Amino acid sequence: MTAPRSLPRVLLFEPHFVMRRTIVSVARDLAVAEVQDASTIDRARALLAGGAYEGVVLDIDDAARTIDLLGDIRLGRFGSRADAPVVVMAAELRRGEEEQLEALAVTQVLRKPFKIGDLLKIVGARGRQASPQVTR
Amino acid sequence: MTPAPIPDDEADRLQALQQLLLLDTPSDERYDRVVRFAAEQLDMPVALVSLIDGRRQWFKARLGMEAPETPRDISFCGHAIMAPELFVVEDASRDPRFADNPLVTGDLHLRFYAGAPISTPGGHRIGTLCVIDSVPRQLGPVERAVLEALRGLVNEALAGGGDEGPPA
Repeated sequence: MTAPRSLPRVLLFEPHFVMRRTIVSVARDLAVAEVQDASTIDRARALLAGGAYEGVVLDIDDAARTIDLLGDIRLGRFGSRADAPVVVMAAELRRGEEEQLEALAVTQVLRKPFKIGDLLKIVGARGRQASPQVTR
Repeated sequence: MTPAPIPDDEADRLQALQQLLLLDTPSDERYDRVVRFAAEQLDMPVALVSLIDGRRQWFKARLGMEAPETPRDISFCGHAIMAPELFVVEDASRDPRFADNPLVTGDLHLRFYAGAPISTPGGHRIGTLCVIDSVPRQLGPVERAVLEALRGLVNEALAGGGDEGPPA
């Protein structure tokens, strides 16, 4: 008998209800990841403070607060590894933000709108820490 | 054409639908955002939340469809509510149940249909969340899972929930 494969624990911060709930459900149904979700950056901080995650997916519409959070992850201020893979979801990036994300070693930037399947491919390939790459 | 069948629990089903007080009501963002998201994620020109009334299907939310309702007997959703699973017709023009259906032969030019039955809290299947295309299609596992997830959100809205957060 084969033991069930343990799924990577991933934290998702996404304020939009339909997108957030659909990502959580599809990731679970397809056994890609165990996703814990937060609809606010404060909730995301609380979840990161309370447990370890093997990957993080962050919406960046409120760029300043999200980049602050990402900086704290990289400084090892939570229970997760400081070099945990981080995917950022962005409708648009303003001047300088792409460079900030690159400096914070973001694994990938997904431009909204994107297909959930594209995000799950990235999440499923946990451990991969490629150079920052912008998908348009 | 095979007319949409009538489920065994039709009387109770219709009563449950009436009790929701949803038929002929104005649009509601909880449902509208789900059909927008379904169309976007599955690359479909048409996405609907359809409620199967006695003689018609009425659309609580619709994207890409002008008519607010169609006769029940020609509805694909009327077939979809016969079982709880996702109901998929990959090419209606090659399916003897639907090849001469006016939704297939007429202006809508329906070829692909996928409908996820939606249910009242009591378990009566009162309609579907469905997507439609004018070309034959197949659904992959991610697309199926997305439709299943969105069906769950519609069911939550039917039960009086699903209000959280800004529209997607």
